[in-house]
Amino acid sequence: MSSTIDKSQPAIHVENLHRLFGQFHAVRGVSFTVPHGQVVGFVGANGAGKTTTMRILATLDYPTGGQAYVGGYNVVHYPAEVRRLLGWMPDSFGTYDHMTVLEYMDFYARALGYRGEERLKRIQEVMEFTDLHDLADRLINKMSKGQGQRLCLGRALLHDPQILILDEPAAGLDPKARVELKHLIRILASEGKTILISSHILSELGEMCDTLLFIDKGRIVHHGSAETLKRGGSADTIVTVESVEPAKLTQWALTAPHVTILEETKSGARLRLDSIDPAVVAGVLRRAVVDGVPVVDWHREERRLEDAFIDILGEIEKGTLSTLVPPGPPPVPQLGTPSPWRGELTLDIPSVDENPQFLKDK
Amino acid sequence: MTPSPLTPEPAGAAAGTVPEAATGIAEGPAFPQLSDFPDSLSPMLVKELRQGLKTWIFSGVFITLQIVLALSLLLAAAGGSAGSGKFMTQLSWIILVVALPLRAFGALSEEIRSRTLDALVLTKLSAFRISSGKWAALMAQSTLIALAILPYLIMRYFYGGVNVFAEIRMLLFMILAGGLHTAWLVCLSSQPGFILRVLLAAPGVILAWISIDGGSFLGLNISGSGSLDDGLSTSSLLYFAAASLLLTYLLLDIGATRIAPASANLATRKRLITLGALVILVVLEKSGVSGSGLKSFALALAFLAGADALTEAPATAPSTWVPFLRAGVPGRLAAWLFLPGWTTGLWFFLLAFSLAWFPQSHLHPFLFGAVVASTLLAPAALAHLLTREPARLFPYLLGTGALTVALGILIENVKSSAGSFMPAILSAFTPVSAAGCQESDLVVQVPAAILAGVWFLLLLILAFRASRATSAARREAQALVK
Repeated sequence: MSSTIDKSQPAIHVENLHRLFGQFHAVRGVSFTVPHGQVVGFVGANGAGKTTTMRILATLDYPTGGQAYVGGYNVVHYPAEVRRLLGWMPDSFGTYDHMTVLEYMDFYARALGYRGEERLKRIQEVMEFTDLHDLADRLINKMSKGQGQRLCLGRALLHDPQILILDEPAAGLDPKARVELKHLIRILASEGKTILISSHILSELGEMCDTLLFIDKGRIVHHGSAETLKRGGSADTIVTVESVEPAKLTQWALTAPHVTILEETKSGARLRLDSIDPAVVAGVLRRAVVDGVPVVDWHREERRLEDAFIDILGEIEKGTLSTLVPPGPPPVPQLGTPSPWRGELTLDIPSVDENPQFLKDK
Repeated sequence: MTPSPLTPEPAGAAAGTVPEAATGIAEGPAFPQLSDFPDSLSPMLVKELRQGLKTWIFSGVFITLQIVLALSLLLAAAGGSAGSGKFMTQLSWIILVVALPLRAFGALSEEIRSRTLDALVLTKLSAFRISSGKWAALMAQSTLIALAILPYLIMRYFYGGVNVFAEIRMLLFMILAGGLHTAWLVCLSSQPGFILRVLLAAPGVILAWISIDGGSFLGLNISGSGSLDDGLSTSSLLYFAAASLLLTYLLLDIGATRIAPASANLATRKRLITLGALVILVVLEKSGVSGSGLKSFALALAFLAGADALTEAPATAPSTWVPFLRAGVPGRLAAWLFLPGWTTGLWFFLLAFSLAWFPQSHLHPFLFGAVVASTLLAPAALAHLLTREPARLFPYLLGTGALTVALGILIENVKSSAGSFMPAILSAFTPVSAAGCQESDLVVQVPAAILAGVWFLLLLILAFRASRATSAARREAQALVK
């Protein structure tokens, strides 16, 4: 029952998506693209519009305007095909009374069309992957939050979807359960699955995700890698260096290429390197050692993702940073073919890597 | 898929992914497997049965009933008490028609409340399979209990005065009545408001309770020994079975409509079946088959389907338009009647009640129109004026409609008039009751026609306004069809 997917189309493509709830504009012209095999973090405060966007992608809600495609299929026109391709894990796990883990998995396997031996085998595979086999007879409303999330993930994986949409999967989990869940997601990513995952815990997303999408008040405000965000879009690298001979370090830094002293500290200095190229950064360190500077610590400074996110929001608030998509009225949906952009894909949303003006040095 | 990365790997196994072939049935301790229900059963039915059979309500009712019936039988054997038979029948009625259906009260609302409906929608289960699966599971449990009652009913034969076939017919009648009551509650359970559901469920429960003597509204009576008098003939039972099964289907489909995604089209099938049934009723009536049952059934069918059609969310999903547009001109014409949404539902409503009028043709059509306008069109028009969320209006429309009918019946009873049925609102708008006019008088017909026309016109204007919300979907569907 493994779903096949047309790899010539991006896994997810969202184009000027709008969603109105009465007068409330929950999603305002969101656009982004997720290539196959990528893990993309979807970040935003409560009410920012990430769950609404994810629900539209999962065919559980309906856009007021714009288009959304999963595996090349328009989510509005081909909901059945989209559902075949994706696995959905909601932010809260609804339970049933008087039902065991095995019965729960069996029910969903039946509901997804698995029959006979195929069903039994698939349930076993998923329960082993999510480490639920020992809990087969446990009532699901007696499970811990972490076990429940694993069960929910298992349910989403039953039909072996190629694309996973995980809404706050780590919310409310204890550290151990969080690590376990993260581990499972990493393995799924290593198997080539495309994962769109939302979370409040940015540091974890930074570790897991290839790129991050920041959404605020229904608009995408950042699209780029965690690395870029941590660097703040700068073309420089800031390093804090400690040495047993701080004076010698300072003396060396005055003449070394690519290096500017930002400040001298008690045990060393903060240096600015005029490149973000790791080879250049490594070369400067190597040269310091070769030149006889007794370096005991070399630390590249990075912003925490939370700080970066707050900075972005602050700059939008001040008007010094625009959102990636200007606000506008919800467009009248237009459609010609199921996937009008089949073939060559053009990214309509510039990532911050390509447009560093969206972020400024801290 | 890989084995769990959360447990230690067996010695020699490589870290990370494991080939698919290696993830089949693992060696070692046997993995627990479920094969208690065959694949051919609906997944929803299997799930509900697994859950339902574990509840204390089912096991409690089952055991208590066995004890009470055994004691009753022993009493009958000891003293030859004729009353014990009636007691057993009434007890069975309470359990099968009143108590067990009540478990459907939260059937769909529980799924909505616990947010499990989303996960269900993403499977291959349609909304109708969800609602019908819940109904079927409850009925399966009721049937199990009915089968447990059957031996006691038959054993009474040995104490005399009991017609076994009448007993079995009675039991079937109870199952059918219980099924209808269960379907009504499953339908109501699609509404999120608890108090509203209680208010709408209460009349059904009261009706089931006061019919404890076996459905007196069908002219049935239970003798002192507990068996039926001749009222419930096999033909009556068959008629009731057909009517109740149709109403059951309609109720389950109406409930499913309320939980279905926008892309689902449940309206076409539902409306076609309703119209088909109404046509059959008209043909039966024209063939000389008459009776209050046929008239009531035609009205009930039109009322239920009409209330549903007037409160369906408009078709904003292009996928619902596509089949109609693909069928060319006939399809576009059919869309006026069968496309989901209350904007087309208004025309369906008109046709359904036109058909439902034939069995009540003793009423002047203008008067009948005014009655319909008073009970359904007027509340619907007022509700659509006040809200843009039609799907929430169904219980409101049922409630106001039922209230109007009840008031009308009450007024007629108070007046002790043997004349035609005249709901309260109509009485207030026409001078018929005050002036004592006949239905044939123009002074009655003209206001009635105006009343019906005004409400219909108002709804038509509102429907035109609401249909603008569907124009984008229609355009997209047209592009898809091209």
